[in-house]
Amino acid sequence: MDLLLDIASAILLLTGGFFVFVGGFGVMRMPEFFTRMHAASLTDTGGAALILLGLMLQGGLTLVPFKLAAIFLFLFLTSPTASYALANAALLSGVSTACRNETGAPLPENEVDSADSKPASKSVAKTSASRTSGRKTTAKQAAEQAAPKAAARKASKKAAKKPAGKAAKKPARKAAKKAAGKPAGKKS
Amino acid sequence: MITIVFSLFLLTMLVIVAVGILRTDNLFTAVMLSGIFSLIMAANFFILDAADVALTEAVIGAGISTVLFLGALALTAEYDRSPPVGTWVPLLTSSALGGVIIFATLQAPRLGDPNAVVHKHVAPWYLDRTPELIDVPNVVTAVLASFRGYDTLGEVFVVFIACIGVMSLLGRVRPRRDSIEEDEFDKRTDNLRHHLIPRVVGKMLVPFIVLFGLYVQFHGDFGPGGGFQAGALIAAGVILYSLLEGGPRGRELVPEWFSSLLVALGAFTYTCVGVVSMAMGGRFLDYSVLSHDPVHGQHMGILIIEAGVGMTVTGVMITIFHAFSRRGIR
Repeated sequence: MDLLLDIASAILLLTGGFFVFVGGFGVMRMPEFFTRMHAASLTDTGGAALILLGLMLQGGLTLVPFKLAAIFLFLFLTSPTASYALANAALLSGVSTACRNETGAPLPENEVDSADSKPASKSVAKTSASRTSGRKTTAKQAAEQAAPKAAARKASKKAAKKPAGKAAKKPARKAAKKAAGKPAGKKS
Repeated sequence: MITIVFSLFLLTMLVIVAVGILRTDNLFTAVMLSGIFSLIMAANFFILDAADVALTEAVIGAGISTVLFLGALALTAEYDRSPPVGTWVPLLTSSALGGVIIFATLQAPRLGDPNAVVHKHVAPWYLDRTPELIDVPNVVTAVLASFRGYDTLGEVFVVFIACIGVMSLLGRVRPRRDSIEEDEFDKRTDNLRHHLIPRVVGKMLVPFIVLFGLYVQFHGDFGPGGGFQAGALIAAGVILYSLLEGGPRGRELVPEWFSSLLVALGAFTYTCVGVVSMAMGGRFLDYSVLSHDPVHGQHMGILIIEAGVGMTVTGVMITIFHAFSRRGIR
């Protein structure tokens, strides 16, 4: 039984280490910001989760696996959020989404497509979604990017709209709440 | 052995990050790198078994000070200007100072050497007498709060005075906002309210951060923790909330008069414990007289002064953050 546990945890740890390695490798090799972020998010999700699982198996029936599970839950919630916030901030500040090769020339369109739609994991979908909606907002790239991925973009656009609608509602509510004039009267 | 390997790795990372901070022109990059620097430093402290310091470094260095730096950057420019003097003078100065430090480390005892001076001086006495005199498992807390209560009082006042300094620099000025409507005002404030995902997840974390802060506050007698760490953690929770919801809402949650009150109240509580122990026939900050049983008196004193420290630190962090966030609105 112990041996089985050890083997299982070793496999998990090695796979997790592999994910981390691939993530680091991807950050070095990927052509532009958003694909690099995709690679880095592998480290956060796959790598961290597998390593924590492997460590949990090593912990035995003590408090340790529960602490590790709490860390896992924390990472599970925060690291995708951090990735989202990072991608969103990059998008808003206008980081270039065009892929370039080593000489700095833009890659042909079909190559770009095959580069970022390899494995169908969640973070890929997220990354490419933010990329495409970024192209929508930055008008100069919208022209060259018109047809091929329009279907996929519909969904991402819808997702992008939602928070905006919500946010528009919020200040109104707050304005009503604060209309009592508390902040204005406090200091004169 | 493994400690040495980890420490070497982390110290190498520190050097790389430090060089990165020096070489970048973009101040935002420098701020982010300094946050990373603090996080690595916290890991290093933890490896050296200084969990208290690691907690503080992680919360303040990597968390709050990064936010404060960003707040400061929002008031100034994004890029570094070239320094008024050439590169030679700073290079010579820092090489000379670095040389002095390296020369000093040649005399330093080896890591974990049991014959080092610090382990021969008062430390054995503290370790010997803590169970008998104070009876808390965490000797660090005993030293910090009781044996060295004067020093800690001084630290609290340093934090207190630092807060006064920052407030007198940044002031409590209100931006010209009477003319702006509330909606417009919301739009101009930098906040994440328009971003649903960080807001939901972040707000989910805030209660746990504050709860952990309270745990660290009251668990300081038994494990790593105490007022400084707890104060920083609770303030970090409040600051996270303010970042997510915007400064005005943060100020609704913890009004400025309240955070300023906390600053003064914490230092006041600490001093009061000293005065009360004098009034009850002991010396200043001698907690033994606070109760019938000296050990119980020590427990009580430590609990109260840790609460005072926690209040002051929380108040200072929140006050400074509010000062920055309100200046950032233009």
